[in-house]
Amino acid sequence: MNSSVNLHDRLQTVFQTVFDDDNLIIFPDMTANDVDGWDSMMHINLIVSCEKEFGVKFALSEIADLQNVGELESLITRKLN
Amino acid sequence: LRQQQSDQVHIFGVVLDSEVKLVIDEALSIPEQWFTTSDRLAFNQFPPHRRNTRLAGQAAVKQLLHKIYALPPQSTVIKHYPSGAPYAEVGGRCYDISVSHLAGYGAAALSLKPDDRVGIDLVQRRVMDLEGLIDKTLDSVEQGLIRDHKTDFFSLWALKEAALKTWQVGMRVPIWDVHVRTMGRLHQIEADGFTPLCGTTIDLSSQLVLGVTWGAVASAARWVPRGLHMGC
Repeated sequence: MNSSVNLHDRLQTVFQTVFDDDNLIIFPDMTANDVDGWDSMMHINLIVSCEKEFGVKFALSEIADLQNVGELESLITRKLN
Repeated sequence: LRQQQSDQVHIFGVVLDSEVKLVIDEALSIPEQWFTTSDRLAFNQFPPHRRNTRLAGQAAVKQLLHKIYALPPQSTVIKHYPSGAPYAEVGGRCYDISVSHLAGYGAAALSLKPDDRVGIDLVQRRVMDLEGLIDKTLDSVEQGLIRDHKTDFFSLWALKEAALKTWQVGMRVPIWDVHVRTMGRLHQIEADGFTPLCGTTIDLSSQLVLGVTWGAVASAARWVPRGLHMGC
């Protein structure tokens, strides 16, 4: 439980840093439509920042399949395990 | 990037003829009568910050076709091929177009050369850490091109995104598999298995750059002829 909470908090910090918004709160169903400025460049920037923060690498197919923030969090969890 | 007022969008229009020409650069109030009830219902599904941006893209298409062919904006309907690439349908005829939108700004492009397809991408030059993006998306040649001006990254990105639209492949090809090579004033954009394209960038403001690419690319929907004045 603690590790998943920790991962969620770290992911939220990544989002806040990438989108330069300290008040940004992530939630499982969140998509690009919910965040001002989340375009293709920021999407890749987000992926790069996640790879750096969590020490993982994403395949293109994994990136393309992501539907929302919850799926990103699950993918990171699987890679860390 | 300065946000437009709530009732305004800023639109750009580009045509590809013997050269790339910026023919529209104007702010306008969103003309409600340009959109059908179903259009408006569709737009209302987007959050407010996305709605005007979508409207800006469609307004750019309508204004561009009006300016070039005197087509009535209220009759211009933007549709999509199965590939996801947009086209405009007016009075039973189809027009291949490219559209890009960003924070209340919209751009549209139209090729007047029957054999050439055009793609565009509007990019904001942001203040951000670019190192990770540069390492991920640019090859060594491209990194050499921007060595002295890191902010030129945004121009390369705009060219790559525009090329993906010209090829009509969208995100199915990773942007790091698209390569930009400078050839004097113009660029050549390449990716394995795709027709090489020409490309250029237009600085629309200190913060906005438009990438434009073009080449002899077959339409994704072969049942719809490319070029001008075509039946759907």
